[in-house]
Amino acid sequence: MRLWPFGVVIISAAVAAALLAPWLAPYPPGEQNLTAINQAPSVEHWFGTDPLGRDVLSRMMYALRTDLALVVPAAGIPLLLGGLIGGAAAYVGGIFDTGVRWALDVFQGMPAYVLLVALVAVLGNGASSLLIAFTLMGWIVYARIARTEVRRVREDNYVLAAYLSGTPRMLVFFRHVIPNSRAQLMAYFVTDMGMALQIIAGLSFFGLGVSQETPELGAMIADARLYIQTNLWLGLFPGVALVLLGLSMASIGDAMRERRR
Amino acid sequence: MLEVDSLSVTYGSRRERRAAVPAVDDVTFRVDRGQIVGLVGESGCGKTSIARAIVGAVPVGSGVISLDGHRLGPRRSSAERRRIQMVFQDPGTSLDPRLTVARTLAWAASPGLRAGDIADETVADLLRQVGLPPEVAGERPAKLSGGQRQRVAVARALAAEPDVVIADEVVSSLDVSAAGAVLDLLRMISTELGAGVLFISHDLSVVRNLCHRTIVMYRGQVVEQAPTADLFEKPGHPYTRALIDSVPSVERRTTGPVLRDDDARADDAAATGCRFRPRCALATHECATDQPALVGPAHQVRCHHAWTTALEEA
Amino acid sequence: MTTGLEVSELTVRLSHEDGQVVLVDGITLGIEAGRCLGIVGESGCGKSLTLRSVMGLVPLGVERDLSALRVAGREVLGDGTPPPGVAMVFQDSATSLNPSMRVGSYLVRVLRRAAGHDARSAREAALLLLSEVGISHPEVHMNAFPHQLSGGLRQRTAIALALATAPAVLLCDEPTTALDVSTQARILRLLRERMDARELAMVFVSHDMGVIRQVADRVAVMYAGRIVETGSTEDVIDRPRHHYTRMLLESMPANAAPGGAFRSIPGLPPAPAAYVEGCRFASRCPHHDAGCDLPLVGLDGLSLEHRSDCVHEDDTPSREWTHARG
Repeated sequence: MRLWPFGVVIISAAVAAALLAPWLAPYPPGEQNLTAINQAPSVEHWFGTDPLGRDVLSRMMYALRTDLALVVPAAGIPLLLGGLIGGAAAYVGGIFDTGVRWALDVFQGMPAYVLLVALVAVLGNGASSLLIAFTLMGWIVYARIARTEVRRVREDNYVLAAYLSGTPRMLVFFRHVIPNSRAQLMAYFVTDMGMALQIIAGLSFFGLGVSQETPELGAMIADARLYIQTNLWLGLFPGVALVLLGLSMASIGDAMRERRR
Repeated sequence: MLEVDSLSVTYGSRRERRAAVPAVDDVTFRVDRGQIVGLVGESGCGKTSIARAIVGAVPVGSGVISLDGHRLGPRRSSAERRRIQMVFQDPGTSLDPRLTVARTLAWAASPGLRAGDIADETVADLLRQVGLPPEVAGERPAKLSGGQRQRVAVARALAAEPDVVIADEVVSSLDVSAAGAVLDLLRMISTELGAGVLFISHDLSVVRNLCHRTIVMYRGQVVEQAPTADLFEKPGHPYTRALIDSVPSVERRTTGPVLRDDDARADDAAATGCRFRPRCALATHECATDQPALVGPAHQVRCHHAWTTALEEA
Repeated sequence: MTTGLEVSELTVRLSHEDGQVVLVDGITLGIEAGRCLGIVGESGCGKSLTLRSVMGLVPLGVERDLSALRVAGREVLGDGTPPPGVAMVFQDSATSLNPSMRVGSYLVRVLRRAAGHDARSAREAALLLLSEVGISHPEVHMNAFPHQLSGGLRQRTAIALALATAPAVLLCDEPTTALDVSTQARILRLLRERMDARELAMVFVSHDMGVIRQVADRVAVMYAGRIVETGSTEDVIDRPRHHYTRMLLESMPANAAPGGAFRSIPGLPPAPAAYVEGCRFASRCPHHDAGCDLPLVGLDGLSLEHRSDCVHEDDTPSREWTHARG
């Protein structure tokens, strides 16, 4: 069965919820209502309230804002950097390519996720430290994919034909080589966003993510773990949202990969 | 015009190159304005390597490639590149699958960043030249037949207003019903546009009716070179004769002898002497020791027993 | 006559979301033992598909339907698996060899499974087969991997593999198209020899009339999923009756007058979704008129007579395609 259409629906809904949170959210995310704490889902509070009486649905919508705003650059910056390095290395060849290949092999040998966590711990909390860590660890896979794809496309005759037409090499690269190599990169990009989301949520769970004040899915789950026996709702909704988003991105990424050419 | 002088091409790393047999070995020929020159031989004989060396896509080992006396080096300017265009065998990978025909042709006509300046008339003009309807301009290659794609590839070559067009097996993956139109285009390029055409093919039946001169290659070397009519009437090299006899005739079932199998193990034996010797019915002691030279004025043959037929020998 | 292969009313359909298209339209064909039927036509006319359907090798979503399939007189119409007594050689010989096995090991395995040899006799049989297909050092050849072989040697090996099951029918799908001309000549010669020696009924698909002339005793010309002309090789090539056959011959570069224009057939074959009941070549034919649109009954490919389904066959000039050569 094709899963990706459901994925598209879920992602679109999540993006819409995140973008429109200031207008759609029934309550401000930080508003405490001490008369209505730890409530189960109801007409006033669809997803219930937390121990401070904050509306879980509203907080989740703002949390999506935080997470999606982090996830796109967390996968996007490595995509651009790795794609360009790997692609250019394969296109230019020679010493540059050999150097990049060595670098890739060295990085490949490192335990990426352990280093990522260590990096965030060293650099301190916050969005910028997350992005630096993701870029340092993430570009390798993109560079690898780009290198393989460009080596394949480079041999296609239209690339030589464009060069013979007098097109400068640089322009041939951006006009013909990149557009025809990018399908696999984009497929991995979507899958990678799903993985980045899980990692960011995971780091926040351990208190290594964005600052405590900002609503964030992983942090919400972390806060909820104290109440798991009395108020199951609290962790359930953010958890389900996290799983659904990850699955959706993975399924779309898979579909893009299968559709190649 | 296009002159190829003592061209050699060897593949591999620097260390490998020292020991390797060159893919192209001391090849000399010229293509004059308005002339169609055929380059024939079996796969692996070096014909595509020659084409790619001429356009500067593979490094030249030794020798000189020049156009109107102007030497073409490994780094060529945009204008130098435009003077020699190439049309490829596989119409599937010769056009960018993402681009419309119009975009492909516009970028070929004006390769810089300002392709927007190219008027639709230029594209329509190119399409008219290759006999395609103007509606094709908006299509992507996937929508076109093999014959149509090959004509677009010819139009792209013409967009650069080249002095020489290299056609590398351009009809071998087309149906016969579509091949004629493409061959007629090549002839038009030579007669009406006055460009030289280097026609690379393994199919001698096409060469016979299209080319003014024909060059036969074997294992990287030219073994015979002559005006096409001469070559087919009195082929001098036993390999040329075998190639001509191998073409499946539509008129009768051929019953003559067939060329011996290409035995890779005989390669080392052929390192000295004539490279064709292991497959040759005329081979003598002389062929094993001395490599024959390419001799003759207009009709050149590289064989110790040129024009000797197997019958006389037996 | 002793029929080697008989295929009756073969129809191949492709099902998709909004219905079905007919790719091969109820064709009947056959060939006696020890003779070769050539099937010729442009790409997309259904000639390869016909061969693969006989073998039961149809892609996903494609269904075949036939009323009879006889090999050496025996009905073998089964569940769509490869029928017994039929072997096939493909254009890309690499697909019929196992890339990770030495050709000898693979051949021995096939022989043990197909002919019930033990290990020792299978090896002997393999050596014999390899020398039968003209391989000069079979012992050395047995140890080679497919990628180490030249195209010609690979195709010879594929032929040996096909012959390993001692078939009565050999189906050849453009087996020489990817080869050099001189190699092609040798492989064609080899196939004819094996056909004569083993009394094989052979079907040879090719787009090249010259190749068909070399191997085939009878010819079926296919166009748009139908047989449009059938007869002996001499009749069809020297005295074509269908305008399609004639134009196909005329468009061969070898048949152009020296220095004269090359001919081609204008237009493209119709897409299967656009197949009509009348003559499907009419849209490209300079001689078409209203009569061409009348529904046609399919040609009987089992008949030995020279026939075409061209309404205007009587005014097709014989041998016009050789005009240039005299």
